[in-house]
Amino acid sequence: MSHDELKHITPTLHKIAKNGNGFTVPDGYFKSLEIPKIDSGLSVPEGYFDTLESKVLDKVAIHHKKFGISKMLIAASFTLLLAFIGFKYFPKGNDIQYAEIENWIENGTIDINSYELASLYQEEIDNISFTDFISQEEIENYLNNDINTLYYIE
Amino acid sequence: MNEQLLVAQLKDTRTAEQGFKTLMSLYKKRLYWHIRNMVFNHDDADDILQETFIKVYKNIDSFKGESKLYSWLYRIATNESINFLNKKAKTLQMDNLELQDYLIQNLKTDVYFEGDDIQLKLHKAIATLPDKQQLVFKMRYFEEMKYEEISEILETSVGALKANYHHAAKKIEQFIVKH
Repeated sequence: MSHDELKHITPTLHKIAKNGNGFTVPDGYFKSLEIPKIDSGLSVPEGYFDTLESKVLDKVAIHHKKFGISKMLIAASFTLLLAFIGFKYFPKGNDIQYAEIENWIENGTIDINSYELASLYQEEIDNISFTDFISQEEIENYLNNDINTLYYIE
Repeated sequence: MNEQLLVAQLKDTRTAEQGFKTLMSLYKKRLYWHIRNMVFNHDDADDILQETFIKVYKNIDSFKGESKLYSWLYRIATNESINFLNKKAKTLQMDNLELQDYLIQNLKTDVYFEGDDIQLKLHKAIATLPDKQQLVFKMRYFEEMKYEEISEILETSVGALKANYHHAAKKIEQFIVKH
């Protein structure tokens, strides 16, 4: 029963209850009952937490760059591939569905490797400007860690 | 800061970076210790913490607000840590118990471990517990989290957590007395 409930039923008892039961305990009694806590003993380098945010933000910025470029490369590759297929294998005016093209590729009907594709569109590829420099190590890390990229590679 | 406001800030590209800074400043220490208690080594904890925040940044749009933001963060951190431990066990061709033993042995020479024999014994005792009990015990004992918070994160009832913690504490006590 809460104190407010008691106030309505019996104001006298409410007053007494408000003052508690009158018992006290020796100083530090409850502290003496606690089991001494053992800490984990683990520590961190000095200033570690001060630099964390900037490290993460740098990585996020790099991720954006890589993600943007890799998306662009993938999109460019697909566009080139589809354009090539369209010009080489289908007469003008034919209404070809993407699914049909995918089937052709999957069934191996079109036998073309990436070097042949690149040589056909060398000029266009040369004109693509990549202003952001990404080191070999960064690319390897990205390819090793990004599941989406692995999917595209497979 | 209000959690909903922070989520809205994170989802808006114009305010995402500021929101992300706020999020990191609010949770970096808590998440760090959560991870560190699981993986022991500082450098590993640092990598996992950064990866956790990057995942949060990349996937904030998929956060639908069905759970609290902090419990979502803790779940990501916990999963990242478990994945890390599983990968490490696989690389070292060890089972989970052997890996825990190996990690605790490494503490002896770790510059960021300031504990003595008692602390080592405590870590060894915790390592003998089933995985879930270890996690619950560490969250309650080292991180001093409320049962309600642990319940949200691990999606386990408070009653079950209390039972888990009770069993864990008893087993640890027995281990320490015996060894």
